Amino acid sequence: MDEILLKVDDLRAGIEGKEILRGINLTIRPGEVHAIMGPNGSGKSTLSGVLAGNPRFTVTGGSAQFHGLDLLALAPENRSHEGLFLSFQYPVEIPGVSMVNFMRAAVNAKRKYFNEPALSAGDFLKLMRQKRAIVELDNKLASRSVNEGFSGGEKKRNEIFQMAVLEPRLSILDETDSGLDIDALRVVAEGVNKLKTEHNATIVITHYQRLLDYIKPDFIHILYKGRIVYSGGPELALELEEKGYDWIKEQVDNQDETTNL
Amino acid sequence: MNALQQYIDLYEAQRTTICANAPEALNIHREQALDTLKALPRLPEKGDEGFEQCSVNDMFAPDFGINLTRVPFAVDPRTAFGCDVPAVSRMSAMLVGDSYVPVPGLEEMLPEGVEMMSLAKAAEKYPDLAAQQIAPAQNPLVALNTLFAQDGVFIRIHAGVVLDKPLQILSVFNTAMPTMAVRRIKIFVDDNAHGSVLLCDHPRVKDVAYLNSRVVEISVGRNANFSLYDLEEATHSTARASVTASQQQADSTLHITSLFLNGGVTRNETYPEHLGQNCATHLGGIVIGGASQVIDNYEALTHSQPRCTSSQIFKYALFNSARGAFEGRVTVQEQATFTEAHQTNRNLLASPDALMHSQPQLIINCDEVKASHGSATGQLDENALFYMRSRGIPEAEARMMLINAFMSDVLDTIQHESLRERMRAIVDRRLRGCETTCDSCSAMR
Repeated sequence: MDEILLKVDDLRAGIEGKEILRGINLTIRPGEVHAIMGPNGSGKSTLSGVLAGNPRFTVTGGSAQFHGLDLLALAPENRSHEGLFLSFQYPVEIPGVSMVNFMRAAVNAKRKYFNEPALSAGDFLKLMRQKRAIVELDNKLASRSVNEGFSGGEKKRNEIFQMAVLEPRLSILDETDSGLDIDALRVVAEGVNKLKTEHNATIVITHYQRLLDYIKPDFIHILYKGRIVYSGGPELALELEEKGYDWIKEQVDNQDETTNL
Repeated sequence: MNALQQYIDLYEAQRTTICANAPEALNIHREQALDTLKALPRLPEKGDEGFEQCSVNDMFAPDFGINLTRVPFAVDPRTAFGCDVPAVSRMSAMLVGDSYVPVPGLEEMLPEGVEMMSLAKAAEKYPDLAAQQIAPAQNPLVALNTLFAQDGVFIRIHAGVVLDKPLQILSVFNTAMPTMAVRRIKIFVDDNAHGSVLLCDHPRVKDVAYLNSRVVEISVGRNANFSLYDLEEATHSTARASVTASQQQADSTLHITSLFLNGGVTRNETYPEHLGQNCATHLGGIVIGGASQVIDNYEALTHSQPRCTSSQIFKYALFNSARGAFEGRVTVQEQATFTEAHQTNRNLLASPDALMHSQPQLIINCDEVKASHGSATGQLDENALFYMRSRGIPEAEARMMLINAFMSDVLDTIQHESLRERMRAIVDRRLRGCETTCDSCSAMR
């Protein structure tokens, strides 16, 4: 397929004047699963934050086209409406805002954006019920405050539940495997796989190869010092598992030294 | 300008008129109030201890008219009751200035053992109760009120009576010229009785300066349970100087929940007192301040009896150049063993020009005590805001939801369910910038 869903070109961004992303290039087509791996501090979470529009980060250069739109010019809520979804590494607890009110506000904001009427109470509850089943999310969590008192596994399942409700065209899963035991990991990964179609795409950000046993990537990119330094097929994950990141670091650091000379 | 002298002079010139138009039960306290005021150098000003954000002197300084001869204002209660919170209660009365105007048919609606009437009428029926002073007489706001008070409301819930719907008192101003109303509200909840009262302050005329001097006195009998809900939804040209004082007998429970949604300058003092063991006192407050509003709460709770519990939870959301003050003082006396007292003040500053002064204090003179206090002032959680926006919730909506959530635990202290939901809706409307007047309240039905 030749259609391009996301095209990131020489993206540079940082926080408080410190540059973290130093020229990211990435092209994603519908139906693809891309994994972004890399050692701590390489800029993985910054990349997901910048794409989702977290105001903490400042974009200093480059561009990102999202199905023809200038992604970086959109407010975070409009990126969501246009089909971008970020599953947070650390889902935020919001005491006093119930899950059901939170989801109703999200669903109806999207409908309003596309000039559709708000969902009726009955249709909304039906939608919630259907989507909850995908990640086996307990009904009792609906009346609780967003993520408050949820276990690590419940929080991540809740992220995938929200993804199922919002039906994004591009999902970014930021360290979705962190803090999950093997059973929760399986449920979450199965949820993601169920939601996969030929029209949407997924970016999986992870430290470990483990998650990629469940969510099979088509491409793997290695992020190091704010740049994608290596791209390859699924076999790259196994190589990393075996050899670690040191060989990549060495290669890149040597190159940097050479250029500095 | 010395506002104090102005009022002393007014009283001395009008003493005969004031007393001639008021019951003896109120007249007997005036000379003592006069002595109290004469002994003061001046009324408290901004910056005095306990008055960080508002000047009582400035509140009382303008030349307000007082209806000392008690000329009745033309009010047709059939049309004047814009707000009767119908889902909650039809048992309401208005205070127009300081004159009591019941809703038509109120007498028949009140259950047996529940009485609501003008203070003047109560002075004939229950002269001792009407004359009883619960509010601290040496307090300047109380003394000023006592000096001029000629009428108000009297409520009595007799022993063992359970009143499941709140009584409502709607205080209004409807004069075209600057006016001061001196209101006295006395509530007696006898032993084993259970009930609640909703006070709403709504001036009807905009852009006219009003001063609302109010003293609410509550007596809660043995094993009785009483809740006071106090809603201030005034105009920017209104000042309110209010003191609420209570006395509780053993094993009784008192809730006071205050919502300050609009007004000019408001100063509120609360003095709960325990006369027996095992009392519970819960004070809650929600403040939403905009424009250049000043909202000042002073909550002085004294534990003088063993085995009593108390809580204070006050939350402020301040916008524009609003200024807020919270001073909570919990004093545990030496003999008040096994006291449990908790105090929380949390504030959201939604604008760089908003200002909050917070002084939570615990004064503990007893070893067998469980007590906590805390205060925090800050902005909305940016992480929560981004999380909501990333799910498509527009920024303004997300802010509203977060501020509503911030207030929710205070609203949860409202015992009466349909009133709680009504208050939740009113707070939400206020945060969305709607005026929550009586009319908008009825529009929500």
